[in-house]
Amino acid sequence: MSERIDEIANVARLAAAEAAWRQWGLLGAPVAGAGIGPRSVIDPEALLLLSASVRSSERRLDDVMGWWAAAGSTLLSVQRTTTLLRRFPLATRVGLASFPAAAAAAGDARWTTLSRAAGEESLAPRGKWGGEPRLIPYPALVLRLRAGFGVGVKADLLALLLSMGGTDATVRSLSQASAYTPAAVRRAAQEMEAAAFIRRTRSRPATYYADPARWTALLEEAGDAASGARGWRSFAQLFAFLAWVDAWGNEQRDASPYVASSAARDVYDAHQSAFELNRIRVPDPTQSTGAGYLDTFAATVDKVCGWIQANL
Amino acid sequence: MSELTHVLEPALLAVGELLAAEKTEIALVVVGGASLNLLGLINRTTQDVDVIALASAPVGIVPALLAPPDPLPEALQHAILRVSRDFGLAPDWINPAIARQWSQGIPPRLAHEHHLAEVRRSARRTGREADADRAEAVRGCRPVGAERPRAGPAGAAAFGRGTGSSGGVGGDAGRFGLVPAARRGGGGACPSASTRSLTSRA
Repeated sequence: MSERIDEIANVARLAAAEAAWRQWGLLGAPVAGAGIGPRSVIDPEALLLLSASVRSSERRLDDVMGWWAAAGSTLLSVQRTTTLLRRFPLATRVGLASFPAAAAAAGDARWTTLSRAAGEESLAPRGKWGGEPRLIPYPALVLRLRAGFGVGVKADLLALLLSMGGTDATVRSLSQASAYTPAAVRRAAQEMEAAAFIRRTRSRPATYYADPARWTALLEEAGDAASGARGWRSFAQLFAFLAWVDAWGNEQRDASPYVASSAARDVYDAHQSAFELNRIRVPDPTQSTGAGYLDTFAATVDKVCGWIQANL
Repeated sequence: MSELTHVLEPALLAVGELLAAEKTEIALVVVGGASLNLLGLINRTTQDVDVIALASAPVGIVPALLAPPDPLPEALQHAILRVSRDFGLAPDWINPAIARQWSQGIPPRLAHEHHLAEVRRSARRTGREADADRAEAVRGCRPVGAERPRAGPAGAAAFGRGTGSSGGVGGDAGRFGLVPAARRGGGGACPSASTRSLTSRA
């Protein structure tokens, strides 16, 4: 049985590693064979946490995380990292532990508080390893706007709305997609609307959108990537799912098929909203009984991994 | 909602596996249609598993002690809910509703077992072996592998991690053991006589 569980977890682990390499590659990490470049907007904190999740099985990610600690940590939100971290398993916490220390050592004092909890496994800042982060390609939109406007909810909200290509969204759905609180999103949206950065519809509940035409010049600089861009995907929730599947594989390796399948249902239940948010149709667990869910869970993991691969 | 009768054995095994994974052992005395189905004495639709008593693990020759089951132990309640989700069963597919009989007069045979167990426990405490011997004699307990009852009003089901003791309500890890607890017409089988066990692949 442990082979079956390993097999399922390995699918998630490989998908996580591939996603991490492809996104880091676009941001300027010297990655060989990272495959096709991503076209969706990169969620930087989600990428960091995904990398921390699979770091133990992908040792080369240490170099990338060390590089980013020195070259790009100032473009990350410490608060958002902490918030998203709550959605990830303990293994992610362990994998991330040395990043704040490396970022603080590289001069980003915001990470000092978190660096006190640094783990034993150190991460060396490697600023020269990858050079400067690439911020102009379209998938780097969040980082680019943060570089321009500062790290915070407004830059992220603008990136999110721009990546939606003029489609309007409620505060609730923007909050779900961005992992900021509804109150923070509402306040930011109201102020940005007052400044005519974004528009508000008259519907109830109120929805907001960014008129792409007003930002064309900015987006055109992103080059060809912008024309084939896929916009925003809620990767944070899906990356958390991959990390939990990996953790599930480690924890349930010696469990009975039923106990492992029951724990797999827990993983599914906790991430059902992530599938709905991204409109991924996964098999219905109520159609499987008892240990029979293991096969259904394998199909779910396959489906999600396939979706991530196709939507990066 | 799934039909309990079709998944009764795997669902009970699942409860045992969950408790085993938690390194917890809980033994139940089950009566009614579910117990008769499990013993293979009848084959009819059953709505739930009626728990009339909790049983302690036997110690040596001292068989299980019975106790009112309401409320069910927390670990068991969690396992029941989890299995109900995983098998599409009602949340109370195992319940102690029938345990009201403890206040209304439980089935004579169970009362007898309970009383004798108390006598035996008292004898152990006071060191009066004669009392224990008398209790055994009255009880008419048969050895392991005793004749299977033709029909009985009560069955005993055991879940969870085994104690490694000889027979009884325990068993190997992940095992769900079923022990007939009484026999129509008196002279019941010994609770430590396991006539049938359902073993998971744990």
